[in-house]
Amino acid sequence: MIKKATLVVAFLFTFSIFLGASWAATDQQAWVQETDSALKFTYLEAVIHVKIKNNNDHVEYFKISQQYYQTTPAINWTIKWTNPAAVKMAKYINTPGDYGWKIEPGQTKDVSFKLVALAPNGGPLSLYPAYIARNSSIPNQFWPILNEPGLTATWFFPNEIEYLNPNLDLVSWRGKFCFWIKNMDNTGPRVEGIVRAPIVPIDSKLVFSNPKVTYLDDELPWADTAAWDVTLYPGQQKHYSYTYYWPENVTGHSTGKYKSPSVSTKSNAQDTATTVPTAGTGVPYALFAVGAIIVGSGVVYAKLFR
Amino acid sequence: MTYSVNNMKVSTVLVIAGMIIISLYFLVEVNYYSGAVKTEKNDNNALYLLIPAIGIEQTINNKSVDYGVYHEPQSSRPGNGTVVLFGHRTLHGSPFLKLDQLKEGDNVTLVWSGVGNVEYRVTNSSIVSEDYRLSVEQGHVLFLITCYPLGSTKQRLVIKAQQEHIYPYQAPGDTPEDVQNYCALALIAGFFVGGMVVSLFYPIQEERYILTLATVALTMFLVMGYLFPTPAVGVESYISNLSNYLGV
Repeated sequence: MIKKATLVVAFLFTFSIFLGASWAATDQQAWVQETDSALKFTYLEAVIHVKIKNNNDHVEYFKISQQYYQTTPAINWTIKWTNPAAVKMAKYINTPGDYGWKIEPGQTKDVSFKLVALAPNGGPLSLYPAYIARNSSIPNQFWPILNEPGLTATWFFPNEIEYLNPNLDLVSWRGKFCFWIKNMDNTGPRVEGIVRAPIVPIDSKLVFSNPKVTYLDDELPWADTAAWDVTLYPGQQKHYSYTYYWPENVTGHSTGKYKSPSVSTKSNAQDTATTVPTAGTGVPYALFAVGAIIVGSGVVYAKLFR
Repeated sequence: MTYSVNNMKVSTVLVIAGMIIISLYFLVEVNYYSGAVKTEKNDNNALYLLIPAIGIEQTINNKSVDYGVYHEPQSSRPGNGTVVLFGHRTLHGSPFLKLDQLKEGDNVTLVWSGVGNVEYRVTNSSIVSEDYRLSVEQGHVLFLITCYPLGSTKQRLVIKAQQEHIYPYQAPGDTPEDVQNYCALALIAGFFVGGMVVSLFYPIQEERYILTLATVALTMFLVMGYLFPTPAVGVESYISNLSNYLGV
């Protein structure tokens, strides 16, 4: 009897080793959800240069807005300047008003503007960026919100401008960002950690940073996220600036000129090489039925043929 | 006498083998229910998939398809391009169990922190082979992918939906209930009771203690799965391989 029991236990132990090995082979990434940080942004600005073409047969407006939705709890950007001077749009979706540039049919236009994040209601600096508004009444695209200031990056998709208004063809885009971070804890020990760029354009190339980035975080394959290893003593502030170019494959950035006069960003399923496997999303039931049948067979066999 | 003993061993081994196979399925579910991603009610950072037509109201994760509805990390966020979501049709809470019931024109909403409430409209569905590779650069569309047919991994059901509007972010008023740990405990208890019933009524009285031991040991495996939940990818792979080997 002891021998039989030992055999059963040994068998099950071996089975457990097998399962344990299977578990150990699995190590997947978790959703990153930092809850708070001693570091806060105290200043954030963005200077954007856009070369944009109107492919339509009538005039179009390339628009920018200053505020995220009223349902979100904070005011966001203010437009500090525009070049050439933008006009205030007759129809707007946010009470501060939207601004834009008139682009004639077939015209390619260079526009620049500077945005600075505001501290709403005298409170801490809000980091809900503005969005570029669609040329119709329903906004459907935003600059992403900074959920975790200073700790995780957010993304901007330069060619989303085309999605906002498909008649506008984004030729090139350059964004220079500047931010200050501060250790808000004046009494505690120094803090250290990785600070990622708060706004990272998708499919763009980092061409400048000051101070030099510690590394480019390539966790997301479609974004080169600038990351700095920082040390901040109580109450200390630091300043960072960086510049991204779109499209990513443009060369000769040091001159500030784009070599590509026009880049198609239209999505096309036929000529894309970016594919993903259709993951296993089910488990065959048949073996379960087989297991039940085997148990039943064993019992019946014992009953009838013992 | 010798012949009789051999017979007893065969039947007992058969029962234990069947219990082990069944325990694998229980283990997958225990892992799911005990390790599922927790979501706070009205958490502004939570992501949701809402499909009223088939009663889906699920949180989305980027951890694993074994935790429910899974966002393919190589695909885009809604509003930025092609979104791909996977979900199990069997086990793991079966979030996409009724996906084949979706019809053209049905509404699908992704509630996505940092983007908004993104509405999609189902345009078509298709069945593809298991080795099909899906392009993630197909414009502003959503793909919902699960296994087909039910209980098989031979093919994939792919639902395509076209993006329509994006509205301000608003988490569902009645957020999905957290997957409860007690489901895992109920499964463990169910397995234990089932095993003990088989042991109790096993015709060969002198072998009952072996089945009791096996039941206790396998229940302990399930308890391990409850205490240390890990995506049971290896177990599923084992089940699939064994199914293929047996041709079932």
